[in-house]
Amino acid sequence: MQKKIYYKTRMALLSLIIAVLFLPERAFSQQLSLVASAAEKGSGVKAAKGPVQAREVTGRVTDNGGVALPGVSIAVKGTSRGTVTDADGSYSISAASGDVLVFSYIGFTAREVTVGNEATVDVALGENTKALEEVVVVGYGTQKRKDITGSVASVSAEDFADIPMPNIGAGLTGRIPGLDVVTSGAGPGATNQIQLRGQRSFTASNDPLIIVDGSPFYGSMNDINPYDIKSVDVLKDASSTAIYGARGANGVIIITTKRGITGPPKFMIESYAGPQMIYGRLPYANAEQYAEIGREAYRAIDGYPDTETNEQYDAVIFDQIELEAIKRGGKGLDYQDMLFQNGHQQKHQLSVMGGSEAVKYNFSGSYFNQEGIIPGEVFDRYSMRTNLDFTLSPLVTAGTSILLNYSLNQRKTGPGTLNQVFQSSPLGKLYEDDGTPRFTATLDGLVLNPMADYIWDSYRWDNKRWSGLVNAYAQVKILPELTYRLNLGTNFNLATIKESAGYYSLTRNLGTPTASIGNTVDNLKLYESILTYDKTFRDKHQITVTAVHGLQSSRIETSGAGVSDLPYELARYHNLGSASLVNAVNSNLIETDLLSYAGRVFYGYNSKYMLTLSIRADGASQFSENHKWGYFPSVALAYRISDESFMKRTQSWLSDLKLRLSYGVTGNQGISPYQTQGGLSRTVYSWNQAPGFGYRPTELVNRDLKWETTAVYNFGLDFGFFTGRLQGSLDIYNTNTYDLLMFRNLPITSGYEQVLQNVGRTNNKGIELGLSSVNISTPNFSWNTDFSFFHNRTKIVELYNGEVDDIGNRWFIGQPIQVYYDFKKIGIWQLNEEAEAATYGRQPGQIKVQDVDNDGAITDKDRVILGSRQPDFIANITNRFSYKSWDLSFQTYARWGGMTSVEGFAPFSKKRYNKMVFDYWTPSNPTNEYPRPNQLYEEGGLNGSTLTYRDASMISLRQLSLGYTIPKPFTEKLHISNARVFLSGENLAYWTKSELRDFNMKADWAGDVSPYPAIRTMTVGVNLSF
Amino acid sequence: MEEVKVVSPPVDDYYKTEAGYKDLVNSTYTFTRSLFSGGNNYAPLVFFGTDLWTNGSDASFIEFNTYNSAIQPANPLLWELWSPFYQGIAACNTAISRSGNVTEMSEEEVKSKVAEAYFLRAWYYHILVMHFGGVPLKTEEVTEVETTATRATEDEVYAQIIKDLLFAEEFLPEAQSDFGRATKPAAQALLARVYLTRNQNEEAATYAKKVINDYSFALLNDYADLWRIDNPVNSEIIWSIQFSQDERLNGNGNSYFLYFTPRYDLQPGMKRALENDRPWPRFVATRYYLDLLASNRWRDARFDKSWKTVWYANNEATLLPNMQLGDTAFVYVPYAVPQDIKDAKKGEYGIFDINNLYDGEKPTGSLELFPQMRKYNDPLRASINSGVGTKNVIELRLAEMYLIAAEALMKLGKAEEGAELVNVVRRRAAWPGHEEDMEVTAGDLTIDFILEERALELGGERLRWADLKRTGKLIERAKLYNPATRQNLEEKHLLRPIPSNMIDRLTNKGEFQQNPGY
Repeated sequence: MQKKIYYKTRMALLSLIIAVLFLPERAFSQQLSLVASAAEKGSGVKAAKGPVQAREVTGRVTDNGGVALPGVSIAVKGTSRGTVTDADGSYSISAASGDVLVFSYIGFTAREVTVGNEATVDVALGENTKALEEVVVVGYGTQKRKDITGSVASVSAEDFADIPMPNIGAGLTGRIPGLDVVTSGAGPGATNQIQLRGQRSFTASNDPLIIVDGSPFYGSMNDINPYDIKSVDVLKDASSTAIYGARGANGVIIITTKRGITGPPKFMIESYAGPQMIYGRLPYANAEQYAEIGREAYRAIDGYPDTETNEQYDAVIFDQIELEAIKRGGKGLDYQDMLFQNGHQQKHQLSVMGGSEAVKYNFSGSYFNQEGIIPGEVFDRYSMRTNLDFTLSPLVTAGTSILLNYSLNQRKTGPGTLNQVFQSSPLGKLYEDDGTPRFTATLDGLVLNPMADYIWDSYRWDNKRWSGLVNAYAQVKILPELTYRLNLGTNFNLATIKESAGYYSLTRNLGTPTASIGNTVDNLKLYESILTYDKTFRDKHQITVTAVHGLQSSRIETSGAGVSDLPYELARYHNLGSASLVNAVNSNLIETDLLSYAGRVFYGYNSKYMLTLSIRADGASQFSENHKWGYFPSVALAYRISDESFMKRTQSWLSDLKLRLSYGVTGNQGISPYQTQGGLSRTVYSWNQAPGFGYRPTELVNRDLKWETTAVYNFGLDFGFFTGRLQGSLDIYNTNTYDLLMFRNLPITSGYEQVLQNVGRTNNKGIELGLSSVNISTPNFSWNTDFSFFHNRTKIVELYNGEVDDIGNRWFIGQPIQVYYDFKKIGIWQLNEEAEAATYGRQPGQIKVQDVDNDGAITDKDRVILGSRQPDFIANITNRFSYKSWDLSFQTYARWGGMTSVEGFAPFSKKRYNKMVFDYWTPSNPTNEYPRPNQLYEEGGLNGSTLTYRDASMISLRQLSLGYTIPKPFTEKLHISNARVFLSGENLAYWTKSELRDFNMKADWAGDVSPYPAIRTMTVGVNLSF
Repeated sequence: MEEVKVVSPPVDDYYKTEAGYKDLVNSTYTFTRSLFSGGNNYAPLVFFGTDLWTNGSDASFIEFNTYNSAIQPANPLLWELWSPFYQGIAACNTAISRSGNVTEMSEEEVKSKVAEAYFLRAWYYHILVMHFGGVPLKTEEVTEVETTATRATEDEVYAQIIKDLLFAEEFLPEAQSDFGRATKPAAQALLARVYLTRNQNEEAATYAKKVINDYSFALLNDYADLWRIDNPVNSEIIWSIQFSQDERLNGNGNSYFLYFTPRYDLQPGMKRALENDRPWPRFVATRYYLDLLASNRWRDARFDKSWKTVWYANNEATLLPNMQLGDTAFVYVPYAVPQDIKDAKKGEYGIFDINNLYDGEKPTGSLELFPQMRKYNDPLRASINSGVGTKNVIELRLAEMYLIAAEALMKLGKAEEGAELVNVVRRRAAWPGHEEDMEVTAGDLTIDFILEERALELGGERLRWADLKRTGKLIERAKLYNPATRQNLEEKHLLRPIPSNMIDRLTNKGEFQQNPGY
């Protein structure tokens, strides 16, 4: 195969070309000269307008209470002239009549004052309460930020507007304290896994409930175009999520998409493209290293003389092809170099919004495309959104939001390719001398040609998804304070996954060609009635009452077929009927219903004392007859201390302080249906080639299954310092989950492996801190910093037998749910320890593990808990700078602590497959790091798994983005209201505590690190609106 | 809020029907395959650590050859035996417990059906008790969560096995239209094996002779025909465990074809081919066994008819200078070949002799080349590198009945009659014209002779470890003939440890005894 290293310039430059198209050369050069002349003259465009006499203007700046404000910046609009107030709040500046003075001060609303003929301009600035007046989306309603009693964190579109990202998960990473987002893979089309406040469930889902425009969303994160999102609100504590009852235990993420506003049509174009590159080569052996490791593996079993190299013995342990490669010398074949290419991604989007009083619209269409570092791995997404709002009368409004999405994820290689790239012998040969390709790299039938899937074009994987989220609402104001809202929604996904593998594919490995198709059709229907009563009495007593009645039903249909022995391989999966063998035909139906009643009362006194009470009753079809219904109450209190008179003295620095306290109970119904009914499984047998299928019971019936219950205490503190210059929230929580749905392992003598029961308890404790600070704010330069930190500890409190460990499942009381439990490597047995090693049945060069119980033998009892996947903390700092037309932001993300296990770190002990190069033991290299290769053992030798554990701590420069907004005077000529070009990078730099740097970090609860290279992404792009 | 599962029948109703009940009985067979499927299967437990087999270059599960400390409760092989067997027993128990509820079948029909479950339950327990001693004895369907278990005594387990087999013998038909189902002679044959294990020689001889005399079973004329994959149904088979060339019916398949296969593919002129199986050098005959097989090769055809010693060139790319496709590529010679002869043939084909494999009794070299036992040879697999084998496994065959009867009769002091029966087997094994040379007399019959005869006739058929154990010869003979066992093998190894996965899940761990020494 031709080596594929080419830079996709075409794609990368597309955006720039678009940008340039909108900026004809003339305009561009004109702009440059104007900027230069403005800088030279030291005066702005407006100042050059007329010969008006400038004079000294003085004055004093205070807050609304008359307190002097020092450090207020004052600028003459349109010029670069400016000053700041002194300690008394006084200033003096040169300005002419008609000039506009801009007074700005952090935490206060900026004011513009036009200079008349007066000599003194005194100004009072009002406090900026925008942050507190901000509207937050909560369950079945909205609330002002200042009235929130629970724990709710929000990210708005502006926070990730300028960042290219494949899906919303990438945009949320690190930004919300308590929310842990990890990628489930690194290839195109990979999605994210999201967990809020740790893990509580063993069996049921730990995924948060996602609500998009009011409708529960069970699709893929890839189905939502991040650009369509206006805001993401994350409900964290039980008082916020209890209104979602049996689905609230894992938190709720509410996604709101952009809607239209009154005004003329406004078009927006976003376009970007750029390459994706691997971070580094994974440290697999080259030919020389591989050969030497092989020889050492034979030396360990007296199969190779203890001299350097010996041709006669080489001839025994290496096959003909390997011997030729050794004779040729050099580094041999580098399969990583052959396989990996620079990937690329691009996205183009157009949206238009606007509207009249009667109709408002917001439409967008977008195309996203990504090709990975492995040739042929492609992800395409086409999405379209139409949001409409109609005002039928002052009392009646209605609207829809429609998200349609088609995505296509394709691969031309099976999972074997990456395995063989890492494992095939670098002494191999991929082509015969006459150019015909070889299927095996050496003479060994299991050391395959890693490029086989490409060479024979023998593999296809194709995943198409069509998804739609369609919501409609109608809202009627029955009384000025009483509103009825009807929500109807449907969410459907059609997915088809097809795979074909030919005779010369790594998957089939010279087996008959196979093909399969799997289809899923799922459909969720939603009905909700929401009644809201909202009234403020005597300006002080605010009451909001919400009542909800809802019904949700879901239907999932799957079907599929798998065949083998296709006569014409190139038909791939398009002619299953031609195959001589049908291996599998299947279909299934899963139906669930959820019927709900919910109510919430909010009472606020003067925005100072606030109380929220809620309750929800859920009936879920999955649960047993006796436990269909669950009731989920919550209570929350908030107290704005800063409004107290005794806090007046601290007002100058502590501008806002609110205490929150909440308790609530939520549920988790996330188990598969039909589990209360027991079940039969088909068994397979044959009578001299005739079918001998049977059915045996495989599920023990449990008629008492119900939802898991989670009770959360949350203590929160919202604060603002220096008139909001620094503000943030601190939350401390204690979550107890009980009646855990757990597959209790049964002694197999009963015939059943396990039974699902509501037993066991877990506990999550954690602390979350979010800070946002305006460090510098002047008309020309600003610097903001967002900081988030969270720490969560999950603990198993009780399992099915009470406080008794379940070693089989690696569940231990007092420990997180996923721990690494194994022998502890303490070194390598050395030559002078031969006798002692022998008492353990080991010999020098093998791994020495700790004999924990000192009984003179290595038994199961010597295994210990080595660590868990849970990080100690996750922290994130995002800095944003802007200087005139330039903006710069970068995000530093740390996931600190926790352990991961990397398969590749237990190198193959035998000479057969390639391995990573480590400092391994030989009689002349008495290291304690890695054992001696040994032809008698597989991965890592005896206790090889002890070599795989690593500290997963990492810090990355996740995101860096540099933008330039083209000055208005030039864009306006082109009728462009805003034009910005940007350069962005993702995962630009990595730091890891252990040698994981070049690996795709998957240090998460979901799985161990698989050898896949880390990837760095660069993007150039343009945003235009007109 | 009602939940209706439309995709599968309600359990209780389904098993009352004829189709449902037959499906339930079918399910009891599935787990017989567990001994042969997957990578962690049973083979090391019954080949390794005996006088006949030692390890090749693949060192997995070598502990069962060396009896080292890795034979511990957490060893995956033990669980892979234990767990599917108890699931099989549970299926049998369900079939037995529900046999009274079947509404669509007559009592007679139900009895002959449920007798299959009795037969299989006995078969499962027989293998469990052989390895683990007294195991928990479950005989009824479990319908409520159960978290305790108690071990029965070895005697109790055997008593149940015999009781089940007697029931099966009474109600099973003499033949079944579905080949592979339990039959009356299968139950009798298993009874003979079990009685011999229990040293109830009278009964062992009686039942073995019933199988020999009462039916139309007959030894095949050619011993090699037994191992042909295209001969899955023949007159010598009493009961065989079924696999299939149809992927849908084959489950995880039979992987034994792998483990006796040398790395022939690395030799000049050779590449992998279906008829040569896929190389996975796990089980190599001990020096003792190779010598035993070869010593009477002039009259006894069994080595040549069930072992592969010649490989034919199939790879044009790596032919030796004087080698053509289809020529001998290399050959194993069971005696020492002088170096000058080897040198003389160098450009023609490779010669690999006993001295390349053994230095005295000690295995030597890379342990990747050795003669291959062909009883599991599987040329009908889907592809060259497929690990999923398709070949049936003969579990009970007529020759064993002759040898069981002979051994029992010998122990009962009827060696004359015993010798006659042994000779039936030996005459069949002879090269044509050498039938008389194979004959033995009553005086030849000793327990060691019987064990050697069983090695020659039944070697590789998974009986050796049990044979040595039941005759009290495991430690003696393994240490004598298999040097790998010498350092560690001791009395405690006659029982395997109960898997930790079994004990860990119990709420009465304290009362549940592990086998001594583990």
